[in-house]
Formats: sequence, structure tokens, C-alpha cells
Amino acid sequence: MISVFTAFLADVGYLLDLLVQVVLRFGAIVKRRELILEQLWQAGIKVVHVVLLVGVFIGMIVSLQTGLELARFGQQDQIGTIVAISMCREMGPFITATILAATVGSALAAEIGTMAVSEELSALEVMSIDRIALLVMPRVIALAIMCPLLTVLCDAVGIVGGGFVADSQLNVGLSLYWDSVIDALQDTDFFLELPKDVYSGLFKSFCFGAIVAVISCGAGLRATAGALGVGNATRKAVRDSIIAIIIANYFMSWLFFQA
Amino acid sequence: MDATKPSDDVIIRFRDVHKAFGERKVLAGLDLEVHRGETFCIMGPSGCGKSVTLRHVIGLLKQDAGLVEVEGNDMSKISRKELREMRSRMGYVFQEAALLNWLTAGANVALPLRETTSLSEAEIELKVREKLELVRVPDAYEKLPSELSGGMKKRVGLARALITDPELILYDEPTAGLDPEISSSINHLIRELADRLHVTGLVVTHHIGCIKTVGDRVGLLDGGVLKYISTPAEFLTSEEPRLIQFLGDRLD
Repeated sequence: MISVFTAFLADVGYLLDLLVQVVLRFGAIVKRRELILEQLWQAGIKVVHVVLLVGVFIGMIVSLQTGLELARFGQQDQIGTIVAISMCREMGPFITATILAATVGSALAAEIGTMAVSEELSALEVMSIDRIALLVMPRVIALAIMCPLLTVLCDAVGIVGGGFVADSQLNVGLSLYWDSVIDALQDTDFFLELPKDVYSGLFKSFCFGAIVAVISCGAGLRATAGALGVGNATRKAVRDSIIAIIIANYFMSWLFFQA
Repeated sequence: MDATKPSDDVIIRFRDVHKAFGERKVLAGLDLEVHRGETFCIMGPSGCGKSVTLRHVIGLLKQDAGLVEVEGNDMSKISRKELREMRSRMGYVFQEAALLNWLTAGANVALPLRETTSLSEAEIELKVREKLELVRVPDAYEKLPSELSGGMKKRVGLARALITDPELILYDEPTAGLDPEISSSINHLIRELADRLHVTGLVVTHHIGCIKTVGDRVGLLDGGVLKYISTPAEFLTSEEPRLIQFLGDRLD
């Protein structure tokens, strides 16, 4: 039990150190712009279709489940509010980050893990090449940028999907649905005149993107022992990313809406 | 002094070096001296600690006990900056070449210069083409590692190790996994580099052809210590029972 706890602490310490090391290399962003663009393509554009597909169905599910309950109380005209708030605050950021962890994060861990077991990381070290600046920093930046952008898409298609269900199955007209969506997103707060539900979700997404990248790169960098090691690194990357996203999600939600 | 002949100037010195991974003792009091200008071969069965020895020389591993000195510097007390400086004068040829698979062969060879020097792109390209020419794979420049054969990868890995004009090159199984013809050409290439560029070499191998062509001196790493250090000719004709046992099948 104690060894599990110390291993967990060592793990967290390693990842926090890696995050600090990445931040210390932000000065090299311009020099690494090509690598960052390449990673933006890998992390973002290649998974857009997955985010769109999952996002639209999540919106439809939320709309259907809450709509059926609201209809019992004759409150189905509130569906738009509920779909918009749940998509922007929670579902959009969380689902997008989970998709990124499962697709991009696992690929990062496998890619860097393969480099570790095939001695490519050792080769970088003996050539005195900064592997964090070359491999980790561009990936963290790319995911931290891409995750909020994809979340906006996920939110949007989720709300559209919810509207489709509201209109076709719950007899809530599209204009009524749309009015309640707009109504829900009126709470603008202090930040850039953006609805708080939207910007809090986007801030969370930004953090989730960085969390997934740091955890996945960290798992890859520490991969050992051949193909089995790469498999373990990949599994660890996805598992730890999802756990970290959920825990961080709670605390950030608390910070935005409770504190 | 003729730089092609081994000198008294010791460039690598191991004194009573111990290294264990968990319960498994790999080095158990290893003593080794490699002189400037010579090519020293370490032979031994798989898993005996040959690569571990090389990794101590370049600071990828630290010994549990004993002394590892490279160019007079104690590797356990060296600062990161000094280590970087020292590594810039060393080349390391990895067993599987360890080329970055998303970069072309040319970009792989150029990487140390791009990342650690301020040379212009034109100067870098010139140097890269010169080194690829030297290891006789000039056509590999634009190719990805996945498009190269095993032998070509080894040569590109060698070109990358040579790009900073090192004084010491460490070879980890330079001919493992290659057919006899390609192995022989790689061995001759290593010998030629030693003769032409006067670099010191430490070669880890279990191929007899390699020590015959490449080595000035050779030793057997057995039980965590280096034994029977001699010239390749003496090594291969020795009457030592352990050497006969180790070399037996291979000599046949």
C-alpha cells in the first residue's frame, strides 16, 4: 500500500517537473514553430470528424434524456438552456479531452515510447539535444491550443444535435429551443464579454489539453522493455489522462462556479 | 607522435567498476584502459554488459562503485555542462542505428549541427553530404530511415556519429544483424575511419570478423570483468580454456 502511494507521488512529481521543464522552454516556440504546426495537424485536424460525430450524439442524448423528464412537468421549453449549459460547461470540454486522450494521447505515448525502447531518446541525449524542447514542448503547446478549439466545435454541434431531437421528438420548436439556448448563454461575467459557461469550459479545455500531452509524453519518455513497454506506456497514458482530467475538472468547476 | 599508433595517453580508464541492475550484477570490478588512437574491441556473450560498459563511457549510466575516467575527467563528478562539451567530442553508433524515423537520413545526420551549433544551412548541408559520402551512402540524403536497408541505416548512424568530427567513437555491435558481406564492408569502413581520421574507437561486438579487421587490442568481458586482453591475433589463437570455449563454435 505504502509502495503504491510512494509510486503515485513519484509519478506526480515527475509530471509536475516535466510541466515546469516545458514552460521553461516556451522561449523556443518560434524556433519550433514547424514542429508545433505539424503537431496541431496531428492533434487537431485528424480528429475533427470524431469530435463532430461524438459531439452531435452527446447533444442528442442530453436533449432526449432531460427533455423526457422535463416534459413530465411541462417544462420542455427549458431544453435549450440545459443542453447549452451542459455542453459548454461540462460535456464539450470533457468529451473532447477524452477523445484527445484516447486518440492523440495514446499515439503520443506510443510514438515517444517506441523512440525510448529503440534508443532514439538515448541517441538524442548523447548528441546533447534537448528532447523536451524537441519532442514534448511542441506537443503540449499543440494540444493546449487544439483542445479548446475542438471544444468549441463539440459545443456547437452538440447544441445543434440537441435542437434536432427537441424539434423532432419532443415537439419543442426550433425557434423556442434556440431562444432558450441564447438565454442560457447570457451570463457574460467579467471576461471578454464572453458567456461564463463558454469561457470557463474553454479554460478547462486548455488545461485538459496540456494535461493529456504532459501525461502522455511522460508515459512515453519512461517506457522500457520493448513492445510490452510501449503497450504499457500507451495504456498508462490514456488511463492517467482520463483520471487527471476528471479530478482537475471537479476542482476547476468548483473554482469557477462555487468559490 | 604518429597518431595512428596507440600512445601512452589513456583516453578511457575504468578502475574496479561495479554496476548492478537490481539483483543482477553486470560489471564486477571491471578494469579497462583505452589509449588515444587505438581501436579497442570488447567481446563477450549477449547480455554480459558490453553495452553497459559503453554507456558508462558516454555518461548514460553511472557506476555503483569504482572509477570511470574519460579524457582525465571523473565521469561521476562531471557537471552537465562539461558532460555536454565532452559528448560533443564523442560519437556513438547505436546497435539499431537509432535514427529518428520522421526525419530523412540527411536531416538525421544534420541534427546535432542544427541543434547545437550556429552553422548556416548551406554549411550544414555541405558537411552532411561530405559525411554521407565518407560512409558511402550519398544517395540516402533524401530518404527516410524506413526506406533504408539495415546496412545503410548503420552507415547513416555512423555518418551522424562522425558529423561533429569526434575524437572518440563508441560502436555498439556495429555488425549485428547484417549479412557477412555487409558486415565485412562496415568493418573495413570502421578501420578506414580509424586510419584516416585517427579517431579512438571502443567497439563492442561478438563477431570475430569485426575484431580481426577493426581491433588493435581486444578483451573478453566475462563475469563482469575484462580478461585476456591482447592483440586480435593472440586472442584468436590463445590456448586459454575459457577463450577456446567462447570462441570454439565461432572459429569453426
